[in-house]
Amino acid sequence: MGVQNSKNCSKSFGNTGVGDCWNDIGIPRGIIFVPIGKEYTSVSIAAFKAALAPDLLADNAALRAYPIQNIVVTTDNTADAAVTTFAGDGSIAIGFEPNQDMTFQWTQGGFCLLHALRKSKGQNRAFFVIDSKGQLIGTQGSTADTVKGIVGYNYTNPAKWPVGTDNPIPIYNTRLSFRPEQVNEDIAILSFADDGGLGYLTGLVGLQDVVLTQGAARAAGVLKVKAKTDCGSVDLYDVYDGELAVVGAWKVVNKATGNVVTITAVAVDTNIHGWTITVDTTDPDYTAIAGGLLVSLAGPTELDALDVTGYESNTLAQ
Amino acid sequence: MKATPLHSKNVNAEWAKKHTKAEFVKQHKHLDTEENLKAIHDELNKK
Repeated sequence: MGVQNSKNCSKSFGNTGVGDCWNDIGIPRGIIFVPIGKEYTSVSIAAFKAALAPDLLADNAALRAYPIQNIVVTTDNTADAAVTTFAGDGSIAIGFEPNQDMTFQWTQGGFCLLHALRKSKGQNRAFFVIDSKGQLIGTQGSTADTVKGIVGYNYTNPAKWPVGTDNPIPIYNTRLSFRPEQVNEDIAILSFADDGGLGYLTGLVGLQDVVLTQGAARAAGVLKVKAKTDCGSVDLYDVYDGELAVVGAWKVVNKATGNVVTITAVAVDTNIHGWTITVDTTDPDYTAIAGGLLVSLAGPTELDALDVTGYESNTLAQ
Repeated sequence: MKATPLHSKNVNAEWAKKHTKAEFVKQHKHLDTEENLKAIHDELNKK
């Protein structure tokens, strides 16, 4: 007979005794979007931290983790389960549990964060929830020592503008809807109480976009660029002029082929408040065509190695 | 006007080692004086 048409009803019971200390969920304080299906080790908190840290700086956007911090209000929109009441005797049966449906409101990050999150509105994403008890809440992975993000529909709503005393600040929020089994039967709670707690978890931040602009017209293999954060317009020259004056902090590629063009030197340029990038015009991938070269900062991981942590730039055609 | 004096850390050392001093100076003459560029090339090639 094997396992066909069989059900092990002895597994339908769970012992109900509890000790003096049990798992419980705190108020949501943050969300970390992670790649769908990505499993993280939970063999120890240290191992989990080591696994998550590189994802915050992943050069590949699809493999990156995206924290949202400072959730100020969480609203539970979950509908009640669908109940069938039998006319014969009034007994009930619950045949269907709706998705858990929650709205997370933040203030810090404002429109910059809203703009970033609305890029994926309507898509299914995976996420961990950071709670006020210093825990990370996810769902069980494929083994006892792995966890993964809860998968659900995400939608960042349009901002509500401040309109007066009843609504004096703009309201930004993201709605997440997910199957309840993931955080009930299959919940995975990681307590960071002995490993930095809420302070550690709320210190996890996402990358900032950097916008490169031309500092002066390109002259053959000499490119002059400036760099500011997209949100807040912090001039990176004021913070990292020396750190970014190295060859490894930049990347130049041929726009048509995507091949890397050799950079021979990068120098601080006080005249433009930026950097002069010199490329090898004898490199076979070099092109003299205007706009034929694409300049960008190196990837977040490479920048981190130069102590320029938490940035990703656009590409500038030169 | 030269932006700032060049330093060996600003240079692609691998590239510099594969090119002559004259080629190195020609490639970076917009960045610094010939004297300093020669000194940088010497520094990178003595390592």
